Amino acid sequence: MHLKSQREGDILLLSVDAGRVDAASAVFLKDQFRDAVTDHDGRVVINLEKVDFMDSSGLGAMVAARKIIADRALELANLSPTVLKVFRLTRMDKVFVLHDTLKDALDRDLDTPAASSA
Amino acid sequence: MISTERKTIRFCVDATANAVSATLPTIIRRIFATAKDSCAAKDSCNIVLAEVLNNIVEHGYSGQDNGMIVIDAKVRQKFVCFEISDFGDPIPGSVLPNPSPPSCDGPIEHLPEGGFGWFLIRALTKNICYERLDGRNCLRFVVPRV
Repeated sequence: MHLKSQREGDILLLSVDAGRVDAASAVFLKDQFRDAVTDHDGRVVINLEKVDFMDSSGLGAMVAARKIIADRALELANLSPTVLKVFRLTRMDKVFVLHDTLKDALDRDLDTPAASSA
Repeated sequence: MISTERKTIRFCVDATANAVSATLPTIIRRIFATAKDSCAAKDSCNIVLAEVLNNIVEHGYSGQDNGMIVIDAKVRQKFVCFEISDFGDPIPGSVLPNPSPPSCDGPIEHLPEGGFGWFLIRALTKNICYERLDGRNCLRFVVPRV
């Protein structure tokens, strides 16, 4: 599993380059996330466009990432229906800011609350 | 009379996280190959099988890499019926975990990073039961198709 990192203005955009984030790969996500956010104190958006499936290990890694930047929101874009189901059932959708698309995330005004965080 | 019963489909998977990850998409495709199911039913089976199989890899076989998991799946009219067998350690006390919903309240540093697996299994299955039979763990459950 690989986390691609790029800057979009003051936003750090991290894209998960894998179709599955599961018990076989989740351990790498937390470490790569920690490395990626070092020295960045602005918004962080994770693009999950390529991720069709996430299990509870993957969800645990996302929550671990959330704790690493506890002073800010962690924003997630492009959750597949299966991934969204895992977040909703466990109520972990409440602890992230969720965007339907990457464009929604990047266009979001910093001062406006995200529309789909609930 | 046309029977709605279909044959049991059997899959064998090496009990490693990598094998489970690599094989599950094919298993889901094969189970639903002839069934016109909603995406919701497929998603549920996908999530439940991932959690059950990963539990067997992590706890039943405790990281040994020579274990085997057998999945019997049968698509019936209203449910997909599963029987999952492995030859690893028995479930302690033969009692299946039934955790309360994960807590998303409270400070961020207290958020749970685990304990989601059995909660998801319980939320998405019905009639789950466990038996230890001659060195074999046998977990049976159904996933609703609607």
